[in-house]
Amino acid sequence: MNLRSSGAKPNVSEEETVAQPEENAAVAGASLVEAPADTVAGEVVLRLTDVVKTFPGVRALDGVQLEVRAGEVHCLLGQNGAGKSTLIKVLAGVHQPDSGQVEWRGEPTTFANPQAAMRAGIATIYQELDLVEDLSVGENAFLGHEPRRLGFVRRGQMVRRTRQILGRLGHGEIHPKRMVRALPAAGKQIVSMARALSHEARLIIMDEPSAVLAHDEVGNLFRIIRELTAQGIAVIYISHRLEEIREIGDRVTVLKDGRTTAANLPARDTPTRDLVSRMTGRSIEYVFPERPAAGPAGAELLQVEGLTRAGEFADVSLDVRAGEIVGIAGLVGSGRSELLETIYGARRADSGTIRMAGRALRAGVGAAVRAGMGMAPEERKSQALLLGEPIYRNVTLSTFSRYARFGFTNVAAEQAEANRIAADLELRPRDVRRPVRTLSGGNQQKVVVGRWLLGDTKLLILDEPTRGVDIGARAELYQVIRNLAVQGVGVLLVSSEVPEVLGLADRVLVMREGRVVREAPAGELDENTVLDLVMAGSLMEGAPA
Amino acid sequence: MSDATPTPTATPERPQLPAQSPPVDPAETAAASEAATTSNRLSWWRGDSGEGARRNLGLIGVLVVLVIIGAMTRWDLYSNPDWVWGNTLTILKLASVVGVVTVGMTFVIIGGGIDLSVGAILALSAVWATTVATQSYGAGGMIFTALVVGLSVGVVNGILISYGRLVPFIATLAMLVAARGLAAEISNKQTQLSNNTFINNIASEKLLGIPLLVYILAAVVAAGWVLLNRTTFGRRTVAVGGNPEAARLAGINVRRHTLLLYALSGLCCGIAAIMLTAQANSAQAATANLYELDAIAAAIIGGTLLSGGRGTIIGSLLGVIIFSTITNLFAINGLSSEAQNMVKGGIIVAAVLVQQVQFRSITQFLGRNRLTNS
Repeated sequence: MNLRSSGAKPNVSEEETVAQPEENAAVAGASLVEAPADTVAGEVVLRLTDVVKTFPGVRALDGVQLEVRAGEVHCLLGQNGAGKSTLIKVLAGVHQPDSGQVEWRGEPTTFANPQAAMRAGIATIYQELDLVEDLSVGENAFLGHEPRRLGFVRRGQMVRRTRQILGRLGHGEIHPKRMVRALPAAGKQIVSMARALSHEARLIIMDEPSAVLAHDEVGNLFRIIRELTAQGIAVIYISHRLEEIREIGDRVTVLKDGRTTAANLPARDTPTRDLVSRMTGRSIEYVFPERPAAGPAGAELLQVEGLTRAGEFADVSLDVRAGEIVGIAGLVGSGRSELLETIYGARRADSGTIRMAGRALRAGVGAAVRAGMGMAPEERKSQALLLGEPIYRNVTLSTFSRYARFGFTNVAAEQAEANRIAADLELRPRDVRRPVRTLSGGNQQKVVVGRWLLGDTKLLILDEPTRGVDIGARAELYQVIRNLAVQGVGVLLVSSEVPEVLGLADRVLVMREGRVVREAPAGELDENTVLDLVMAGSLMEGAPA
Repeated sequence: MSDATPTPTATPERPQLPAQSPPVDPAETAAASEAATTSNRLSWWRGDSGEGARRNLGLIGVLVVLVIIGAMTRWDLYSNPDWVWGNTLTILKLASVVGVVTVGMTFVIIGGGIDLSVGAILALSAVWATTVATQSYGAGGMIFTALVVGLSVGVVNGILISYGRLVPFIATLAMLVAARGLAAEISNKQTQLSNNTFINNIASEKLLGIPLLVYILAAVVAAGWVLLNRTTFGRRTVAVGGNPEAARLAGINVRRHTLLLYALSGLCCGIAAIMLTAQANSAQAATANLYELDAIAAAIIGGTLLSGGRGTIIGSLLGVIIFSTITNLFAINGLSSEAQNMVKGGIIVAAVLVQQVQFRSITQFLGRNRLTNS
């Protein structure tokens, strides 16, 4: 059965979506599983009901519904942190769900480990291809289940079967004895797929397979995917590029904050806005603090001119005045985080200048901090916090020297200052001697932001300040950011959530593929305009011809 | 930005704190002082962390067990209080040289690194300090040479690692080989006798009945404790080892600090070189063999996390003392050093296993705790 050639056009009206009640995705979930019959004819091979997976401090999956049929390409859509990776790992047997049901070919199952999932016929091709570079193509394809006799690998048979599989994938030209290291990215991906087929997988999960491929290689990938689905193999396809989803996908399930916000949408005909809004969670009530009446423009604070880093962003110029919030809207991968880190001195620019209050900035984070910059990076846990250390030491991480005398730390002063910050930011719990590890995501973020309220921060750089932060804490963070601006601090902010940028910032820059494509006061832009700008070229209305 | 003024409470005395530093408003300090006092009172002996304290108590428990075993096997000796006192000093003296090296090693490991070259640096410092030329400058010249050589080699390690971007394991492994080679070159593979009575007396002199070497160990440990727990240097060490990226983005100069950590380790080796020379009245290139392993093992059973970010000086000291107590235990029972090494190996494994279990249960507890709270 070749789905592509069947020409079945699913009907838009048949899309099923979850109304997203805050705590109650489970109830609505029951209605998700009916799919338009003409879209996919295969039997249901995988069905997830209300799957929950919790890690200390975060509910990574919070009621996921998913239904995959044999022979379909089922696309998973969701922003970073929506729970896609965790979901994949649950399916691959790396994690076990805390509750909810995983039904594999009609039977409730839990995969105790990755081997169990593989034996059951689920193969996963991770974003970071998990190949052993210094083994041959064949050895990689059959890694862990080499054909053997009396403990000796039957190399001949392995080579023969690998050649067979590669032929099936349309890549007979790759020699099974070649070292994987010598292959280009696309070739490595073929090897990963060969591995999946060597397991006789019935479901292949592909995590952003196109991210490592050049444009013309993507077409070849799609051809292979179509051949696989024609053989009745189900594919879960994850990508940020809507264009690809339209081309290869049959149905789409959208995740947001660990929940299914829409299931089984027809991949080709669901309007982009519907998909985007379910990804970005328009249902969230954004409560933004009011902008103060336009006062006199503050002094020029940050001036960036022609900043370039090859492969990340090019020729970016921007400025931030004291007391102004400048927001950058853009997709993940548009170069926005890299730009912020470069301005902050954590990456070295290839060319361009960065000035603080008119003075050119020396390279390095130290110089940036001394010039009055502070940054709350994108990855709180890995980039900003000492999780095992007490809250107060995290708050004073960049200022503890100021309270010290002759190199001796003044713990009492630090705790007093941290207490003041904790009170200002309504940190919960309030006890600043507790380890940061014990705080929720929102409160951890307050600790990171609070760090820069000490000392004399003139420019605060915020990269996705509300990621993983619950709605209540978001409103508080917005207020904190606005208060800072009112006090004359300049704020440069990046967020994937367009309404957040529009609602919070005074001025907005839209970035796409490493370039600033639009700059305007927030009042002059609306969400649709920004979405169009952000996604032009990557998210297109309807299917390409 | 605050209008929430903290309500000042009655201020209990805060004994060991320095006077108020300039940027702090006294009223605010007062508000927090109650909490601060509690924490300081609890932490003066345990390095600010309850976890560390519990582990140190466990190590003291191990020591007690070792002493009980000693008493049971050699009651004829242990029944004599004078012998017990003398033996305790013997154990401490035995621990002194490795103890000083371990203090430096603890800093390096907490800072996220490892120093395999300590034994070699010690040997090089000792050999350089006992050449005929150096000895002609007298005791001061010898001490100065040992310290400068140790410090310089540590700085070279630090530069290779922080600016040359070499993996600490590789850089210090290379230094291990190179420094021993240089020591052999300088000494011409001969044992160099120390003719300086001042140096030699360091090992034999006693003050108030306690060997000078033990005082030196105590001084280095005390300085290390203060440095780790009470200074910005110590705070940076924990930050750099615990999360280098966070430290860097907070404006801490991670590279410079890494360099300083290896320099500190080298300096400790220089101090230890003088102590060892004094003990042996001589120095040779092969001296202090495998001290790096003793120091790393002591730090690890003392609760220092090999991946960095956590560790205590007191724990490391207890680790060293446990090792020398075991050596002593085997010696008084007339057992071979081979059996002793096997027991040491077992203790290292056991200590790490216990740590892992503790750590896992703590994180699990915290995780659960948070979920039930929220």
